Amino acid sequence: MKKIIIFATILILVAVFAIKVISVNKDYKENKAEAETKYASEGTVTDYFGTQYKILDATIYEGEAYISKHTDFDWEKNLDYAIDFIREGDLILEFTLGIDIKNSSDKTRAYEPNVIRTVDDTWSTLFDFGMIEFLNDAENLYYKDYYAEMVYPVLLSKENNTKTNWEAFLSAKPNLEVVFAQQPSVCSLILDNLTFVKATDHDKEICSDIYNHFDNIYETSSPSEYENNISENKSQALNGIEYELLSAQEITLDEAVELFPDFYSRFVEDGYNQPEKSDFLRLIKVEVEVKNVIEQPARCNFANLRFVHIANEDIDYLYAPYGVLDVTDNLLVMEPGDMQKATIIMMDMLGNTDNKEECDWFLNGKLTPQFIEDTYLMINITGMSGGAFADKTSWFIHAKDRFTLLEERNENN
Amino acid sequence: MIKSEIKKGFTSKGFVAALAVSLLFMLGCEIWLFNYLDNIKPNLNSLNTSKYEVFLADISFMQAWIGIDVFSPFGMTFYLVLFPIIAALPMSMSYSIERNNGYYIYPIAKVGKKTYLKAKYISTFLTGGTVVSIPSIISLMLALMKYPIIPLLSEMHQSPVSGNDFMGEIYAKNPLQYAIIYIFIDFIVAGCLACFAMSLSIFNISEFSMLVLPAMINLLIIELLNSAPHIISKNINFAPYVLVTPSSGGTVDIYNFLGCIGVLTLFNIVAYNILKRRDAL
Repeated sequence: MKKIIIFATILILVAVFAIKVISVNKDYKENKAEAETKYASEGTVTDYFGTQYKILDATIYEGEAYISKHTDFDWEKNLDYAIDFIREGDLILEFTLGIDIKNSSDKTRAYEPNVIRTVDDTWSTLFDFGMIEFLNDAENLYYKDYYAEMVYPVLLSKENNTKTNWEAFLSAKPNLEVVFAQQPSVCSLILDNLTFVKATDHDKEICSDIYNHFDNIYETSSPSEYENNISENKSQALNGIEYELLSAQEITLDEAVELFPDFYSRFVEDGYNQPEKSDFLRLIKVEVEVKNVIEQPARCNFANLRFVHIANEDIDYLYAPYGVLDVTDNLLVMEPGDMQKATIIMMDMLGNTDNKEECDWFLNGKLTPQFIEDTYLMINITGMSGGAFADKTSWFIHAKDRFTLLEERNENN
Repeated sequence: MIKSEIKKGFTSKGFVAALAVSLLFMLGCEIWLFNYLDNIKPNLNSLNTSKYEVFLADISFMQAWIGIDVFSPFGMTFYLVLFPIIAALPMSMSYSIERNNGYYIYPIAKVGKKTYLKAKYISTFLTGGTVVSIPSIISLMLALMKYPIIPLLSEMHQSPVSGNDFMGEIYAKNPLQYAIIYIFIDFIVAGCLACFAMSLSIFNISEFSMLVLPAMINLLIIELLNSAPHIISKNINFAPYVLVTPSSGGTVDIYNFLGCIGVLTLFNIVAYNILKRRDAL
């Protein structure tokens, strides 16, 4: 009798357990399907990786109006610098994105931390692109069943920008197409919006409009002039730091490890030793000499980096900027005399690992010493400060890549 | 003899005490994790969340399982400190106690020392493995009853395991299978550690020392490895702790596992032979 009672009790417990587990998983699947149906009905655009996006809203705010709108955000606590960046008269363009990864060929891509991490390193990802600055805020972000909404504010500096112009720009592009770059980082997201709208929806005339917006950066409105301009600028004194390129060369992993012994652990940790990544990976060693720090403090942003190490011969706090989760690591304030000579290893995926065609195009045609040097010099022109070299290089490799693709596409059309 | 020793092990006060402690830790861990995970999503909109509270994908049962717990203080304490002690508590000291009070003469006279020692080792192994596996299994069941069976994404920093880590592929594709395999691994490692504690009786040390020494050695190895991170980066890590919890991340692979189990087993075999010859009646 005792045995029967024990057996029956166990049987009941097992049954309760099984029913509960089935119920939890069934509810989950139903909720997921509901969210997917809802999102599918709203219409989407698709990026290179099959991930679907929809821009739900794009609104222009005055800087102060933006701050007052988001009163629930602890500005002082989370943003040491944001208030400084949002100057009087600045505008903020706020994108609200719906993201659906259910059809993505690479689901991890849509989960890419650099999008997601904006939640916690929100204000560390302040970018200074000269004319356009990005405030990376994933406010109102939530995630449910393969569907997310994200808000990306973009700070538009007042120079050569007017609310009217930008509103006109937005109204002319009702179907902004989102194309994530090698990382769906905020900068590439927004810039791809700008460039790909031109490539896919409009013609060259509109395309040149966009580049006019970047005049302050490129000092030109066409790629060829831009490249000519590069060769004339061996050193720059922009964004508070005057520096000069000493060398730029591709190196092997062994050489990188020799340079920075703990490089390898990071390398493995991030999975770059896997063939699907390493096949497309290039390590580029760049040596720069910082001539002078003019402004102080000059801000260096390490967030959104695809490279792993920056090291300096004299100081070690430039080390390990990859920790994008760590706000304090991401934002470096340079003082005069901090850095004389820096060696940087850039890990650049050269496009994205998911798009072999694009990578092949890049690797076979473009990765030459001259290109590396040119790429680097682009950085000079954009005036990125010390530690942000590689970040911007990565971005510009991407930008150049896109630009050429865009041109080719236009020619084909 | 073997059956009676196993029965003795599973009904011993040490087993009950060890099970009670491990279940308490498991329950504490589950309460903590459930509370923590339930509060994640509301935090998302506040923008005041800790950076470690960023969860955007759906919560998986894995996050509520003690085996992969990296959030609460319970999981880490259990696997880092208590694991070897709890494994050793039921039966590891039994041989030493019986030898010291002379009781072991009777079973040895009856079945021989070889059989006696074998029975002790088997019982120690099984009780040690069971006492750490039961809370892990119950924890897994509780987690399954609350959260769906979906994989975690290492890219989301939801978990410390990535595709490159030990059994990373299984982890990504079939998390439930991964959890079950890890419970089995825990069973094996705990059993080996319990036997290791018993084998320490060759040194004629006190029972208390036998109980805590494996844990001390475990911590010592971890400390040594922490002070030499370049060794870890080359995937050399024999600390039992890293084997029993996936939260150790990418510092373990199949060779670490086999290496650790191999070293423990070798020591146990040597100790068995020494004990067999020593004090022969």
